[in-house]
Amino acid sequence: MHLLDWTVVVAYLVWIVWDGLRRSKATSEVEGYFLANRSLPWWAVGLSVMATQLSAITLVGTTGRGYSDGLGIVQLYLGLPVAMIILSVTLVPFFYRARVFTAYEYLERRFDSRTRTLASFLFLLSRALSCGVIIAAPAVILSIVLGWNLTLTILGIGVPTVLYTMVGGVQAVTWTDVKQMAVIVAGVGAAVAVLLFQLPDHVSVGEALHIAGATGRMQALDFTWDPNKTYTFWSGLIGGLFLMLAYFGCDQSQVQRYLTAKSIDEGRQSLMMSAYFKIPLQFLIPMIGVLIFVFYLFHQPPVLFNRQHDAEVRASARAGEYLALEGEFTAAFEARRDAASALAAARRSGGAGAVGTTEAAFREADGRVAAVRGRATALVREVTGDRAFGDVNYVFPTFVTERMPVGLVGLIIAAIFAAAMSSIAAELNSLSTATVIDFYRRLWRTNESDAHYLTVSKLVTGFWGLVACIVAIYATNLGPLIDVVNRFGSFFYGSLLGVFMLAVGTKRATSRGAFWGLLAGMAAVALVARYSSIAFLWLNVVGAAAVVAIGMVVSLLDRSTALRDA
Amino acid sequence: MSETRATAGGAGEERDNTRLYAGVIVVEVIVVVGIWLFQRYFGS
Repeated sequence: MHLLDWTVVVAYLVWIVWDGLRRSKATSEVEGYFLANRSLPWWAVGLSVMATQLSAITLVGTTGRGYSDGLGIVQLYLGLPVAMIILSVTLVPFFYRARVFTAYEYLERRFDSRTRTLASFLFLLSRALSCGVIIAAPAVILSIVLGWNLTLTILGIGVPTVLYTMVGGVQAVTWTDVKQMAVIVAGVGAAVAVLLFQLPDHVSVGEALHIAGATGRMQALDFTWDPNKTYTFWSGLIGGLFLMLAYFGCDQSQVQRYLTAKSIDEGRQSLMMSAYFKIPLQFLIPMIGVLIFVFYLFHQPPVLFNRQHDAEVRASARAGEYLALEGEFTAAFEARRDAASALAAARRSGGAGAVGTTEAAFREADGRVAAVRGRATALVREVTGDRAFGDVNYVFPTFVTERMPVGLVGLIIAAIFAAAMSSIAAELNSLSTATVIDFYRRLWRTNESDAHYLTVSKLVTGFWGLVACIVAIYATNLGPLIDVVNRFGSFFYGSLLGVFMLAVGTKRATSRGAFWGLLAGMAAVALVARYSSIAFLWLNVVGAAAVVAIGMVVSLLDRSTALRDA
Repeated sequence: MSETRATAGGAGEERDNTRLYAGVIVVEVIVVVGIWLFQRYFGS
């Protein structure tokens, strides 16, 4: 990386850490440390909500997915605006009026202590693991693309975040989120601008998008009704609705964001910011991937974007086979480049027949490039033994480091850091809140001073930061752990949402119904995930429905037993 | 002008947010239709 890029990244880190540390002045008591004394404006909370959701995995993974598959991933967010309205009407006022620190605190008031304990414990377990993965995923990619030491990259992301979150509490999390969101948007805007400027002179933006459309990458909405397809209009609208209800309504890392707002209405308005802007933003991010695909139609891409695997194959006994594939790839790329230029020219001249013919030729040429890449991927899998190998997550960082102008490389690396740090900070802050409020202050040391709890809260934040960094270091060596974390999250989310639906939706639900419903919901999700190929978004619907159904049956049995005994 | 009402528990005054929520739905419909038109135009 150029000195100027290093300067930008270091300046970003210094700015954020300084800004976070100076917020410690406003956190002299536990309510200030965890909830900013419920004093923050809606726009800051709204940006914090968006920054927390947009992790580096989203930024790098979604652009990669746009490159390989197109815009379809935007459908994941179709249920979000409706979820925000439902939450604003239901859970947000319940949480505010109950003046809770954690979402799970409300479950004890409505049901009993064991339901709260189980829900909070599940949150701690899943978020501690996911926090490690959120650090590990970008660290692995950046270390390979930029040739950095992996452990130092993990510490480079983790240590500054832990430092300002530990010292500054939720004030630091929120106000750094605001700045980090600005860095992310600037990075995304710069990437789009550079990609548009780097189009060849003979290809307009419209023609470039038509060329991408010829490969199916412009298909953002898929109206087919197939529950096994991950992203369709219906899975996004219905499954995504349940996922977003669970994430924004039952996950402490999000609930804590809007509990810091000045009033119920400011909390609601903060959620409305995501309702308005999330879909357009999530449309723009995979669009970067699509534009990178167009860029690499006219500039030769590497056969493999993951340079570590590339080097491993070159050093293996099958290096000759790989070199032959590289030759085939170059020839296939040149044929595709010419076909893309011919398609652009045909579109400009306007002849329908010529467009049809050149489009078919372009698709065929693109298929040949994909086939060579597929064979190279299979070769990597055989040589390295990495059965899950795929390199789409390396597309965006590789493009940035190799093709972006000096200075902007630093900005986008800073944006990736910002995306990771904003999510990690919110998670550490919420992990500390759940630990101290749901366990330490309630079960172990119930009558200590506020100063004592504040000190413990800071230490617990540091503890969870340490756990996250250790998980991150191990997660990089244990690939399947990432899958385990993601699956565990989907088991947990829908079921927890079901418990909150019982809590808010009906007075008939009893504490026994909620507790056993939660366990039954997770079991139902595990069974469905094990014995069907249903897309993960639908698991949230299954979990919530199972909890409500089983919870209501147990509650009604409880009531009939109570009536009979009376 | 928005209606307001007081709430118990120190939560402050609450506005009638019906228009805000309706605005979100209208904007979402416009955005989804826009994406669909974009897809229809640039898709093959």
